This record gives sequence, C-alpha cells and structure tokens, in this order.
Amino acid sequence: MPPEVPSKMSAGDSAHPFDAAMSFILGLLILSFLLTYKDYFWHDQGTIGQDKSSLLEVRFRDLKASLPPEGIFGFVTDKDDNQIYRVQYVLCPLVLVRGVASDVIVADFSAGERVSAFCESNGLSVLRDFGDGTMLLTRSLPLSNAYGPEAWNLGRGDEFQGQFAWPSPSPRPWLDGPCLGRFTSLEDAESPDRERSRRCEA
Amino acid sequence: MMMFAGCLSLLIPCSIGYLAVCRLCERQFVPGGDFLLKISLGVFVGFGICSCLFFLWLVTVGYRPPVIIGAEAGLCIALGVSHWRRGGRGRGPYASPASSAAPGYLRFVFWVLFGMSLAYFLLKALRHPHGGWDAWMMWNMKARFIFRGGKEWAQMFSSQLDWSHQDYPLFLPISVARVWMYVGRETVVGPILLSLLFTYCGFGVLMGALVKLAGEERALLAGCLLAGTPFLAVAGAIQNADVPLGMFFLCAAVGLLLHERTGNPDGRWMVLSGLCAGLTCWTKNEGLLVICVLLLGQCAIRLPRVGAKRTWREIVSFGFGALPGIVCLIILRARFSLSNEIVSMAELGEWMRRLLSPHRYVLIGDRFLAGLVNFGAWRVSPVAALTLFGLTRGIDARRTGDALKGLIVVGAMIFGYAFIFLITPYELVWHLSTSLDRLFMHLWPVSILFWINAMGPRCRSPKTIVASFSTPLGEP
Repeated sequence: MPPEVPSKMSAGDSAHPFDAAMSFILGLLILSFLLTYKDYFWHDQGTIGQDKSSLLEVRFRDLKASLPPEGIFGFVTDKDDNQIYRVQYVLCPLVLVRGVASDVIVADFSAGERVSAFCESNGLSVLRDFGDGTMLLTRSLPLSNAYGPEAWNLGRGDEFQGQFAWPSPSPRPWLDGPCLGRFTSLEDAESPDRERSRRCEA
Repeated sequence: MMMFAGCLSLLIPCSIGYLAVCRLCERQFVPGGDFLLKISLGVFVGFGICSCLFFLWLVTVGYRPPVIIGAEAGLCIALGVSHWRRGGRGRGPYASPASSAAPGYLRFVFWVLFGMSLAYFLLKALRHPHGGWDAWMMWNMKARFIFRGGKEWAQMFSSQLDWSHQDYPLFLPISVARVWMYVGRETVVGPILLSLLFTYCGFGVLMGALVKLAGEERALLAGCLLAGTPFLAVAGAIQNADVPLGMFFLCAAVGLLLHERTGNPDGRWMVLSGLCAGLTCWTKNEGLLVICVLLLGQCAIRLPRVGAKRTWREIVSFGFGALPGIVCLIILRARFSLSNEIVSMAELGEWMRRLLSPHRYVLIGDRFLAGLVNFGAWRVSPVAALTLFGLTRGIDARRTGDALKGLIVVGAMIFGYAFIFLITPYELVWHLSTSLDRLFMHLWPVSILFWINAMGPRCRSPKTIVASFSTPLGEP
C-alpha cells in the first residue's frame, strides 16, 4: 500500500478562520487550570518538607542508624494501620513485621506515656528511646518455648558489630541452640540499657 | 561532581534511546528534522532499555555499579559510533510532513498552558518530594531496596512484605535506583526529575507525531488538551507509574500510526511500537492488556486491507520489539515465584459468582460514566465542549482507519479494565474509587492522539454538520 501523504489544504483553509469551538475549549482549559491554582493557593498549600514521609525520615534517623543494615524486626504502633508502610519505607532494606513476635521491636507511639502500659502488658522493655515516640523495644520475657527459632527470626543481623547495643553479651542468646528458654528476663543480662528497662517497668 | 553524575545518569539513557530510535527508523525521518519526535521517543526507549539491562545484570551478576555503568556507557558509545559512521542521517524515502501552519494565538495558548502545567507539577512535587502513596509504598521503596540493599536487593520479595505488590514490574524502581547509583547517594531530586521527564517528554511524542501525521495546528491543539489537564501534572508530581505507562502506550500507538502512514515495508515502526508496548508490561501489569488491544486494533484494521501474510509479518515485528519488556517480566515472575494478586486470589467459582452479579455491572457502568465526565481534575470539565469540537470538525475521510483503530484500542482497554473490576477480589467500591482516575490517565494521551489525528482539518459549517449525520462515517 502506498504511503498516505496528507493532502495539501486548499487556499481557504490556510487562512485559519477563527474556530469558535476550538477557542471555547481553549478558554475552558485555561479557566479550569486557573481555578485549580486558586484551590491550591487557598486550601491546599501546605509547607515544603512537612509531608509525612519527610517528617518520618527525620524522626527515625537515629533509630535507623542504630539498627543493623539488614534484618527482620517487629513493629508496633498506636497510630493507624498504614503507619507500618510508612516506617517500612523509611527503614528499608530492614523488614518490618507487624506485632511483637520478634526479639527486637520498632515502636512508633504518638505519646510516650502509652509505652509503659504497652510494655507491661506485652512483656517488653524499652531498649532505647529516641524521643518523639520512636523507640526500640525488646522482650523482658522470651516468647513461649512453643515457638521455634523461626518465630524469633532476626534475619541476617548476626554479623553486625555497629552501634546497636544488644541486651546481652551474646547477640541472640535465645537462639544459641540448647539455651532456648533459659533466658528469663533482661535482669539476667548485663546490658547498658538495663537502667532504662527498669525505668520503663517502673 | 554529584550534579555531573546526576546529569550523566539522565544523559546516557536519553542518548541510547535517541540513537536507537534513529538507527531503527532512520528511513522514516526527515533528514535533520523530526528532532522533537526522535528525542522524545528516545527518552522513553532509552530509559526502558537501560531498565531492562539493569535488571538483567541484577539477576545475573548482582548489584555491581561499575559493571552496570560500564555496560550502559559501552552501549551508548557503540550506538554513537554506528550513528556517526552512517553519517547520522537517513537514506529515505522519507514520510512527507503534513503542511499546516498554526495560528499564532494557538501557539501562545499552548505555551501558557504548558507553563501552568509545569509550574503546578513543581509546586506539587515540592510538597510531596517522596511522591504520593503509590510512589513511596511501591516504586521508591523498591528502589531503596535495590540501592540500599545492594547484593541483598531481593529482600524486597520477602514474604513479610507481601502487601507491597511484589508482582509489579520494576521499570520505575530500577530507573530511580539507577539515578541514585550514578549519584552515589539517595536524593529525592532523582525520582522527581525522572517523573518530570516522563510526564513532559510525552508532549514531545504526541506533538512530534501529530506534526508528522496531521500538521502543526492539530499538534498544538493536542498539546493544549494534554497540558490543560491538571490531573496529568498532579499524577506526574506524585510520581504515579500511570504516567509513564500512559506515555509508553502513546509511543506504541504512535508507532502503529506512523507505520501505516509511511507504509514502510520492513516494519521498523512496528518494532519500535512493539518495544514501547513491551515496556508498558515492564512498567505496570496493565501493560499486558495494552499489548493485546494494540494487536487487536492492528489486526482488525490491517487484515482486510493488506491481507493475512503481511499482517502476520507486522505482528512478528511487533512481537520481536516487545521481547525485552516481556522477557524481563517473565524472568521477574519466574525467578521470584511471583503471581498476580488478582488472578491468584481468584477461584473459578468466585469469578462466576462475580460475573453473574448484576449490581457489579451497574456499579461499574455508573462509575465509568462518572469517571469519563469527571476525569482530569478539571474544575470546569471540557468534555461537553470537546464533543462539540468533534462535531464541528468531523472525521477526516482519509483517516477512518485510524479513527476505527483508535476506537477499538481505547474501547477494548475500557472493556478490559471493566472486566478486571468485575472479577476483582477486592471490595469493588474501594477498588473503583482508588484506581479509576489513574486508569483513565493511561488512555488520555492515546485518546487525544487518535482523536485529533482523525479529526477533520477545519471547522465545518452547521449545514455540513447536519448533513454529515445522514452520511456514513468518514464520508465528506
């Protein structure tokens, strides 16, 4: 099939007579965009750098720096259900799992006072408080022996020797084979965060 | 140094794409001309090729920045040398560009709308530097897994993260991680710049193609329609993947139209069209539907015109082009055992129950109609005016094929989406309200292309409009 070459326009067409329909549409498009701007500046302005993700990046900066580069951690919050997604975005490539079935738990609370009650009812203690409701929790009591080591899955954090202060000389005493269940409370471990844990329990 | 690396991360794919487009379709371009179309197509093709290459490196040798950067630079140099040795020009026959100069006021209005759209994009992007919900929860988070995770990048497919739509393709996450890899650190400027490129290079594809197909006046009109859609700027600013998907779809449709118009026997436009269609699959799962409807539209129009043998050759060319995107998607799904959540969550009995439920049809029809009228985030919807516009211009008799193809492609996409909503395992009202606007965004640039291309060149008198209703479609 030969290529279709657009036909030349006749002499009358080249003068571009004023196209009322086209002008009407163009006018509507401009008017519509102006109204969008009006809405933006009157109702929707906000402040640059104050979006939820940017604020979370700042809040979790110290917490992120004290965690190993990889691993799987628990996550608890008293905020809405979607908070885990936001914090996951900030902390990745760490993996967050909703709930307390991990030996280290990232907590994001709206008020620090709620933490004590939460820790008490779940057998947790504060490992480190980063302020503004962000903290790392750990277990005062281990999970039931019915849980195998998989339930304590901490991922690939074993080799990490960074700033993270584990609550005992051994990084994960409860995973050291036969000692599973031997570790009954944080009191058993010499931890730099022991005082903090006591304060929390008090 | 960081800025230089950032520029390099954008320049390399743009150069690869530009040179690939020139190499592929050199006979179809006017020597020294069509720069807007070539460079705009090149941006999409280049980022698509680099994303596929990056992914193949990831799954074979792992995350090794020097290897990946070296491969990209090598490809760019090889294509550049090939282009230079061929003299950097085509060998004809060239498609004649349509001759139709635009009135000055149309040019002015286009630049006003384009400026408003761009400024709105920047305002929104500064307010949401990490992008909207979809961007940070899926695309940018996966980009972080690739960049921060390094050799452990596949941690993003951990079973604990099954809420993060793990089966979604990786075009955007890889494109973002690429920029960070070049720069050497994470920056929100990277994804914003990418989104800016993907949003506004679409204008170049649409207008560059329409200048070639229908003349400058209609190209500017199409540009005004696209620029005057506030939702495009918003969706681009919050880094939705629907914008690049819609633009890849547009590139693929442009390839089909230019193939037909230039009548090139070796099917190079079909290869380019297939490449872009394949990259829609590598951008979002909806791309699979895009490939099907483009093939359907092409077969429906070409089969009666050129016969089965030539149509088959065209389909083969299209399929060959689509290979990179499809192969990457297959590798992703096979390597990490990912299955589509809508398909995997469904059972045949459930499907039948949903398909036989009349209220779902009513609800979907109702929402689709409302969506068609309200789409675009216009405060004053121009839909009625656009219909009036279509009436005053009518369909160009020489382009009924293009018009029909557009109707089939857009119509089949709408039916395809409606079918997905029918069988969706999610709560229907929630699924419709969270995705319909974005799905129409996929269709909007392509609809403008087909519609403006098929439209008559000049405003008709009321008498002609009335008379046109008593004549078959397309007759003058």
